[in-house]
Amino acid sequence: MRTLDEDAWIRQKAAEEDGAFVSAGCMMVPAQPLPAATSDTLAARLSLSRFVQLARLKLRLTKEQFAGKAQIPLKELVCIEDDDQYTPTLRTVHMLAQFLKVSHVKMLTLAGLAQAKDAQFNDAAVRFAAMSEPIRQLTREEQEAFDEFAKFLSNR
Amino acid sequence: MSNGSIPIRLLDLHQDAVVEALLHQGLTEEQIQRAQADWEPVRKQAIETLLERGYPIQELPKHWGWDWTRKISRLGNPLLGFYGLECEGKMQGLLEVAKEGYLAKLPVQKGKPLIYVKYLETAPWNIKILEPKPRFGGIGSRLMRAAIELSLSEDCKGRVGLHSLPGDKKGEPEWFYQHVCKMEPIEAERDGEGLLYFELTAEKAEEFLKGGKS
Repeated sequence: MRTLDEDAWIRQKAAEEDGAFVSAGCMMVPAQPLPAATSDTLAARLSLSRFVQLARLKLRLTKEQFAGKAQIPLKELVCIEDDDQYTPTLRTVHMLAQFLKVSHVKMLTLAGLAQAKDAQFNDAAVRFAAMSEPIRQLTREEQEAFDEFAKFLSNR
Repeated sequence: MSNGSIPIRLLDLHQDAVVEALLHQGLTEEQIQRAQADWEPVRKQAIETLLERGYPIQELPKHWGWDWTRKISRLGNPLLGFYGLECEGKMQGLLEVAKEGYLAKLPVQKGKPLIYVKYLETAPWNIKILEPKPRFGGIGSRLMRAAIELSLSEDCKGRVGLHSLPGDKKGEPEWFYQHVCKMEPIEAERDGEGLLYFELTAEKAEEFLKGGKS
């Protein structure tokens, strides 16, 4: 086999590769601080963190039970609930949306994996984040805030 | 490997012409931040477009949460290597490798040192699923070539290992590593996320570098 020159080599490889998606690594994002997230992104992630935590409390499930029922890694659930700067994987967001019966696209936006289409979304996320302090048991106000936000997320 | 940039060739798919590009061996904080800033909005827009078109979410590329700026704290670590392919003033692909701490798994080279690809990604506008008319071609292959050449210079004989993102259909990562790079999958070495491990032998590395049909 002869060695191709540089131009012939890249032409051949480009033809074989054919615009393939070639990413290697791991799907999980390392838990290091985000240097430059916008306030909207941070509020959205905080809302995701609180939403998932309150959903779990509402269902009266431990983290292990919730992760099992949602079919997501326990490690990711812990990161989502305890680190509001954590970016979950696409699969986990999909499984959470499916389990909690809310819009996939809105959950992706909360996770910072898609962009909000309108200011209404960011406002709702900020309002929810502000109203839902992480506590062990849901108060009636939290329950209402949770139900209202869940209803908003469920509108596709 | 010493830090610096060397001229290389890439295929401009819009012009169907081979053009000059740069392979950066060692990256700066600024280069990574700029690449992330260029790539992230395009990635996010692409996912929205695919979702709106009804593309099954479970089949979307699984790298949406990647943030290369989180690797900045690792720059300068002598056990790691960072590479970038630049053309037309933008980063077209990024690669992070580990130079030590990984041993080959394939029986033919078991226990021998290899270069482990920690992360490899091409710019979103070079991926057909995201951009029907990709800008540059062969970016993944050129990054793999950089990993192989590093393997040779580190006396690893071209051996390279990595965990591929999922997808074994044509145009997906596992397909690329198995059929374009001629790496061998090892089921028993899947990682905690279930990602399939691939390994390149010294012999296949040599074939890859030569090009041509064997």
